Amino acid sequence: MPGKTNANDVTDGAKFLFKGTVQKLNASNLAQVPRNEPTAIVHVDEILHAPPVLAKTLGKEITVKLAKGARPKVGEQVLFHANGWLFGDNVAVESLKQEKPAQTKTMLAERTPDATRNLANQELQNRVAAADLVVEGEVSSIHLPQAESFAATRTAQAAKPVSEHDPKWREAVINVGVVHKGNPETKQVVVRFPSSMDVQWHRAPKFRAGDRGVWLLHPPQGPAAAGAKRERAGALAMAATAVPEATVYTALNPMDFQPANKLDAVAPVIRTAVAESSIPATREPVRLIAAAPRRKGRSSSRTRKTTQEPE
Amino acid sequence: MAKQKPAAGNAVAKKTSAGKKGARSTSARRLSPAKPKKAAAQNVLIVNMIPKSLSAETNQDSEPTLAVNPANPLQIAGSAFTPDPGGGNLAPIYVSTDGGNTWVLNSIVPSDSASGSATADITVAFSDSSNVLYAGIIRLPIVNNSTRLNILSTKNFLSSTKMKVLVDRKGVDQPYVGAATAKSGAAKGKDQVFVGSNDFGGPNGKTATIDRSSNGTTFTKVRLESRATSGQDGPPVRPAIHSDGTVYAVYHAWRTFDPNTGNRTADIVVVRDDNWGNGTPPFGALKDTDNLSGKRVAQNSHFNFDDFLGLERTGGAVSIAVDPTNSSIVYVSWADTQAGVYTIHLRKSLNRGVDWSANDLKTVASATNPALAVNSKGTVGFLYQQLVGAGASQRFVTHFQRSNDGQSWTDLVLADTPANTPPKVFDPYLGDYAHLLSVGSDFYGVFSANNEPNLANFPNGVNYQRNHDFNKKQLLDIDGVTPVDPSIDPFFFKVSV
Repeated sequence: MPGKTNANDVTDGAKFLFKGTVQKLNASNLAQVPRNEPTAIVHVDEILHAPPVLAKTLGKEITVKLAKGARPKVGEQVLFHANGWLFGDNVAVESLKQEKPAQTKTMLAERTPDATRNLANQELQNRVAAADLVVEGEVSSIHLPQAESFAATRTAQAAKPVSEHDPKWREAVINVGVVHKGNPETKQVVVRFPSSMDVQWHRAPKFRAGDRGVWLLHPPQGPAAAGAKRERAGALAMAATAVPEATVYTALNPMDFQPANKLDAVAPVIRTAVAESSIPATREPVRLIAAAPRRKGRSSSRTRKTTQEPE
Repeated sequence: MAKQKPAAGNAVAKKTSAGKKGARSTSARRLSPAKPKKAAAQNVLIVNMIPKSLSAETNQDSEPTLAVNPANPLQIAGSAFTPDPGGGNLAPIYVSTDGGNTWVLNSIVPSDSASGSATADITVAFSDSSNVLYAGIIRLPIVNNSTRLNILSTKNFLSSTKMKVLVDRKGVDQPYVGAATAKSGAAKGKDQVFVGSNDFGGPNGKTATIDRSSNGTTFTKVRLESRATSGQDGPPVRPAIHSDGTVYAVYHAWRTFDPNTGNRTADIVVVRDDNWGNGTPPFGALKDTDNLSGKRVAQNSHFNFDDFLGLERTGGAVSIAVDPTNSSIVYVSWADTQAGVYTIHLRKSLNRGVDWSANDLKTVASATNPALAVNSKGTVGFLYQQLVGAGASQRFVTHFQRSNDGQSWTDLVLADTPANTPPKVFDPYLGDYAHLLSVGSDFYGVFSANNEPNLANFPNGVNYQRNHDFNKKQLLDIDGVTPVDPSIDPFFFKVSV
């Protein structure tokens, strides 16, 4: 098996990076594993990053569908880059790549002991890298996009299809305090978010006036996808009255909004990701919101319905 | 109440031991269900589908469907809004190889990790004899604010290979797949696949659509709606296939819309094709008195697309089933609002959809998710979920009823569970549909419900794979100790008649 690997690298798509010792070849400990698959029973010795379910396999034996190439020997420890496959009484994973373990010290120095946190941090870094703009600020108001106005949705022959998956778009105007990535002159942005709690949209963060935190902003969906600026005059009619120069973005992944009161854990990750980003950082030293003074009766939650509905 | 013994006929697949060099071995083979079960008063099997390795999960696993392989009824596939436990780019299906006694999750459905590793709609169906599993999904992520249809297939639902994409098209909602294998004629041996959906690309608001395939590979669109709509048809379009090539479909035809209240009316329309969807025109064999295609089983059916029954969203539901012993006999069920109460109706036709029972065979108030099937004895099965009680003590009661004549019914309560616990995470709470089918004389089905391991909630018994304590009515983590909060799980059931 060739070479070393950077244990922080998940660009190969492997969600489950672990060191395991082969116990038995051509075997499985899950009855549903097809007989014709090249599998081995492997003891999970150490997990470097993993989703929560697979993190629970530490110290246990699982079935691994081996990747193509040289097959490991019984008793050999292997660094597996894998993804989940079958989840039954036991777990079977599919190895994308197998390697001899890298130097242990190097790996541990770059990771926390929490394998689930390691994966989450890497995914957060990926979201930062993919974002057009990373800002910290506060939501000043919530608006209804013009296409979502009462009149528009209630016409007898509405052009927009009616579906249980309708996103029910809303727009949050954010006053930007610090730009961590992107145009450092940005003062305000509009973030379009789905207020729908349908299965398709429920994970997307919902915003309300007063929310403070860090946003990882991406180009919007739908008609604005081709160019947020081009759409500005149309669908931004409502928000445009308040922020005529604002550009529309989206933050649809739960990681795309980091509330101010939970930033301590993720601030270092965001700083690192921004520093490594190809787009230059800010006009002032990078800083992230410190834990905001508590306002009586208010909490900052990432996922909740808007309470300030526009007319 | 003790757990139930599997219904008669539920043999468990056995793996042979490795006797030859290089042959496969399984270190922990199971030759019988994991836990012994006492004999059932009736032949009823109910299984919580969450496997042991996912004992910690608290997902809202709503909107389930089921597919049984007629060529090997031990092979069963299921689906729900369950995300990939591995957090990868593929969503899972549920898989059983022992007739539903035990289940695994296998992530082979195209999805996207950043979007939650699930789908926004999914249904599954086996063909009759080709062992191919088909699926219709709304695939994530959303692209350009448009729902994305994928029709998929796999020849091996246990493989780690991603399902093959047969159709990829945007602007389509709620795909519902049905499949069969032609037993005679020019298409003998070829899979006939029908996927009902609401296709917003339908011209002039006539959106009820079936994507059909006569070879299990290439598909063509058939527009079902022949009348003016209030802008579109509704999401549910359901096919029902008979082995003689008769194919029915039912859809929710939206006719009027009040912009001030959001109230709508719909026709419940049944169409038919007598030759695997190859009719001229396709699905044009059944006409109504206005000489247009599609029999209006009910007209002026009232509903509001934004209503709720408890925590469960409503907005119209339809189901259809054809008698496998006689393709002229067909049943339809639908839901609408009657005097402010969401109500399910069930009617029957004896002459290929031309005439329908003047009155309901069944009328069920405060109920949703009707699902129909007819077995090889001509017995009709009827599944639904009814909201009973008031306030915090409301319950969702899942019923499976059956009748030989449509008049006298036998009722089985599959589950009687709290309706307001756990808190809702997203819509739909239990699902925009449940599912029922038959293979031979057996009925198979799936529903979602509160998963508290309380035997009083399951008067006909239940089996759990995930760690649990029936005495303490407590779910437990993989360590068998740490408590796990209740959530919504899919429950498989089989009733042997």
